[in-house]
Amino acid sequence: MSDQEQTQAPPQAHDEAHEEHHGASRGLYLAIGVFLTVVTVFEVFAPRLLSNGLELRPQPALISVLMAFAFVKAGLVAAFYMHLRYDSRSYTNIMIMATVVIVYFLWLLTFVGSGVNFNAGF
Amino acid sequence: MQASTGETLSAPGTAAPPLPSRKLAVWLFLGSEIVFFSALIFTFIVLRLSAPLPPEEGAWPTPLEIQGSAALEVDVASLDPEYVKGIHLHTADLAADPHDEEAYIVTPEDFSDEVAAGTTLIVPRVLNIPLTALNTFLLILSSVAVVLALDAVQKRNQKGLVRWLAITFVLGVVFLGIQAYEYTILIREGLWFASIPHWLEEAGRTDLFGTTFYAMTGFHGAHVLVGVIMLGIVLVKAIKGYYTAEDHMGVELFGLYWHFVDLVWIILFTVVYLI
Repeated sequence: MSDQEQTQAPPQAHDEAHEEHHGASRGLYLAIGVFLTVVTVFEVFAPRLLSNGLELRPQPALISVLMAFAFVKAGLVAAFYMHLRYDSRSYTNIMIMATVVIVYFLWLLTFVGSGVNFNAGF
Repeated sequence: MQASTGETLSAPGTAAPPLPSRKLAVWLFLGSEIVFFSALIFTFIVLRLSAPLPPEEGAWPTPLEIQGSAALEVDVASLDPEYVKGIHLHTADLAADPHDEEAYIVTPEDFSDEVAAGTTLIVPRVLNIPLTALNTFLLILSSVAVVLALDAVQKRNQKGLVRWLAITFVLGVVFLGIQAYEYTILIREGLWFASIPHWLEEAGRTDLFGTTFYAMTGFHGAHVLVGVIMLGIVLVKAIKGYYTAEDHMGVELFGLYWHFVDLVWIILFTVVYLI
């Protein structure tokens, strides 16, 4: 790098600026916000729709629907609001690795060896 | 070629643009937060699934007991007495306070008589789903506001940046206020670490319900509090014109943290309150 280039903005600011100018449009941000709100409203009423309220334990159908929606919402926040969709793949890999690590260790604790005794199933 | 400041990181021998070190550091931190909250949530799930079913001692409160009969629109008067063996009911007149300790507890033996008499049975709720749903909406709104703040500064809209950050700050404070209010109600009802409302205790429910509830929502609330404090600093700097279209990494990094807190709440709200 020449002396002239070194007197310009520091590389960090340059790299940060180079990374910054991309992302979704305002309209998409707002649309995602509306979607998140609508899904949340549905989730609040889901127990009334998907169960008779008399179960002693939440039923698989309700759990599946609610968790699926939760992960879709979380995915939208991560992809668009946190810019994973537009940023370096390295950031996504960090999230994936962290998730894999913790899920693996929790699986070890729960299911390997003496594990955990799960009482009556669904 | 690395700059002398050493502020950026790049894989040697590659042509990929270097990753900003501050941003990489924040993402690594968020990775550790994923590990932290995943452990909490997973532990909660395991404890709940491994608890015995009612009416055994140490059972987890049923969905009806957690959300209340009003939330689930259960016509309790139509309950089959067989269900009563698992669900602990607390009778009250419609006009009376269902948390009134003098209201008598219905036992399975006299349940049928009460139903036959036409008394409407009310199962008091523990968790306030509508209020927490409002809180969830506020947090989603704050996430939208943060991303619009970032969008504003990228488009050289300083007023927009300050406006959206201020809105986020207000929403964050309101979220904390509502959660604090919710905690006061729950504590008054008897829900705390190793403690559950008396009507659940009498039914033999496990007090792990209280412990796990406060462990998860409390840690999340602490993260929101830290986020609000950081936001205050970012907001003051924004007002002073510290951030520009060329250099606004502070706004983006704060946004990453705030969105992550929202993301965790999305999962927590579903797991703790709705399921």
